[in-house]
Amino acid sequence: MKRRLQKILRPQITVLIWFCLVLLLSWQWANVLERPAVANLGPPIEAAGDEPIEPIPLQVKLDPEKVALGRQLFHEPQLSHDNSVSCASCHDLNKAGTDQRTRSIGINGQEGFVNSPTVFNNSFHFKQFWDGRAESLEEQIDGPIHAEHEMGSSWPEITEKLKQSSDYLNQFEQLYAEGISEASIKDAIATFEQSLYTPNARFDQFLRGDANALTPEEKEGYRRFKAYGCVSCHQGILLGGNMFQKFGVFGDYFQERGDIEVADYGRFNVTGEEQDRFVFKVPSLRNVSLTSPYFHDGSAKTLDQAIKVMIKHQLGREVAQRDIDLIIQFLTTLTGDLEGISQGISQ
Amino acid sequence: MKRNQLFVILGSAGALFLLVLLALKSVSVDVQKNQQYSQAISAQREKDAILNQTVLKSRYALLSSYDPLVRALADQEELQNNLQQIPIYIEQAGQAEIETVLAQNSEALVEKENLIEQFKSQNSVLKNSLTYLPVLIQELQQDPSLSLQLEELLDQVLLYSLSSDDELIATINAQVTAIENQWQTGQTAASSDVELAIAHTRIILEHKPEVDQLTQNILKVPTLEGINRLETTYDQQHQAAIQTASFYRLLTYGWLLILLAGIAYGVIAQLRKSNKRTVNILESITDSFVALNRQWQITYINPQAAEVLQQDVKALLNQDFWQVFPEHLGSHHAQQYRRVVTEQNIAGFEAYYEPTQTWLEVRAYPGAEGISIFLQDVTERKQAADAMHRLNQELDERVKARTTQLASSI
Repeated sequence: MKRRLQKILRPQITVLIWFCLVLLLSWQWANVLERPAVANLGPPIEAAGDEPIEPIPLQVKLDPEKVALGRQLFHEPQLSHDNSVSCASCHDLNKAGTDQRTRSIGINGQEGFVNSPTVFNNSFHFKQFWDGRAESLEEQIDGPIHAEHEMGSSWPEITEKLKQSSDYLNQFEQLYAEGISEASIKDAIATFEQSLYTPNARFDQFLRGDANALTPEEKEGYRRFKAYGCVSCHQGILLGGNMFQKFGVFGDYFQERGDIEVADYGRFNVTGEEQDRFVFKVPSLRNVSLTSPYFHDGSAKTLDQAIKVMIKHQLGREVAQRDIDLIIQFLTTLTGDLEGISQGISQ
Repeated sequence: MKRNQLFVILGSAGALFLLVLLALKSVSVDVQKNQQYSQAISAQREKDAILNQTVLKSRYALLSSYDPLVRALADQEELQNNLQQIPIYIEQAGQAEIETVLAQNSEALVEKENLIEQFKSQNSVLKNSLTYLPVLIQELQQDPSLSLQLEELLDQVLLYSLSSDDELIATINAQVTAIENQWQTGQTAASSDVELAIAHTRIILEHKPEVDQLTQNILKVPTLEGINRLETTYDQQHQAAIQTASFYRLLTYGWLLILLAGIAYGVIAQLRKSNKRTVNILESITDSFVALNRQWQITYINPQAAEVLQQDVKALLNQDFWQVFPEHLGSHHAQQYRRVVTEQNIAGFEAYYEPTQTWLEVRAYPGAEGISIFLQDVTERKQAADAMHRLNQELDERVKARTTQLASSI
């Protein structure tokens, strides 16, 4: 009798005891895990650099398929309302990412309000547009897409058009779970734009330690660039593109130029703060010798003119022509590798 | 019966479901998520310090590029975005509370960013004038009429740029007026250069306090307080979530104990039932049955056996077999009984039991816990066999007698 009792009870009791033990242990284990972890110290604090300018990284890791899709979209006129204008219309990769016009032409031959900045290296800019109204590349894309005088389109219209193409349907399906959408189109274009960096400029080689990468004149030009205070705004990896500055610290640039337009108010149009009137993002000087005309109004056709305006209105001084010529020589050393990228497009 | 079974199945399924539900509730606090969130808050505090440090470095010309400042700010904004993903185990009210703090922190961060933008612009202009003024004045010193005054002006301006002595402003302004007067009274100094030096001096006078004020304001933006408040709030909510989870854990254990008790009760009831069935069978058979343990104690005896032995069941239970069992049935056959135990064999014999004047067939079976003994009344069979035997004998004798008679007659 007792034996039978034991026979029945033994397996069940064993299972129950194990179950309780496991439960108790798991509780204990959970308690151990709940103890706060010691915070890690993170990367060491960066040291103060010797030079105010940093080289452009030699490599940026990106998804090549998204880059390819983004490149196709960048050249896609269907992004505009009448299928006549693509991103590349104003940011021609064979013209250093600009159209070399004072003001760009949008749909129906309409003229823009400001000069088109180059698309090269724009992923390194701290904000997008001359007035810095977009925080990211993705946000920036909304600007020209919706502007009546640029592409005059809308996302429903664009996605509808792109869905007609089996090629786009396939590519998007492979790369994005959601297929063709506003977000995926923006992501592809932004990824492509991140691939438009121009490394290995002679000046970057100089910064990386090759003392012979610059001629003595170019080095003199760099010395003047620093000594005359250009570098107080044109610094960092892009020689600009990381701060705002008032156009016309000395004298009144706009009074002298005349015909003040809304676009000339710059950052004021974004913030509405009086102190931001005539304030613009400091443009990058990377590849600057290829991206004329200069300034938000495209008023300076040559580097010589641009430097003279800058020295007069930003630095409040006069500089000998010899010094300007040296600075121009220095600026030409900021041209990086664009060939590989633009060749890829023209195929 | 079927309905009962359904009821039992549904009941146990419900009980198990409740157990799983309680267990899930008790482990709802995601330890990993909590660590990530706490780490993000710590990282934000660290980045805030780095950001302030970078502002000071830029202000005091230890950094010549604003890229570190832009990066520090971008890092901080990214962390702020990550923190918007509040762990889901925090209850609704707590989420709302944390969101309020996050909104305040975002506002503070935007304020800080705006101040930093102003700081960068103003600081650049100030730096430009501070580096250019000495160069300009050196060029102007070739004119002896103004050189002493200009040198003094430069000294005062540089001193002012290093200190925050407001009294110097009056001195500098007086010097500027003096230089302007002297220059206007027909001195030969290069007019535009003097004008430029004065313009840069004014820029320094104007921008230096502004930049200092901006630096102070940037450091004063209550971002650190906000981060600390976020940490406190989050910590409280996390503790509350842990307490709730602990409560559910307690409930889980309670419920588990109840379930265990239920299962144990079920098992015992089942055993009792089968035990009872065995007893019923043993009591309903006509044979007498006695069970002994290894110590030769009677552990069970059915009423039939008690009747045969003419004793009470209760009086016999737990008694020593050799003492209470009649000798004719017990101790006289001790060898046979012991063999059952030692050799694990069945033993059987017949014995006459005086008190009831019956023949009993005894069969003893070995068992794990002792011996089972069956007693069967075989008196009738025995009597029939005896009668048959007697008849046979009489017949034999008669045959013998007749044979003798026949032989003698021949």
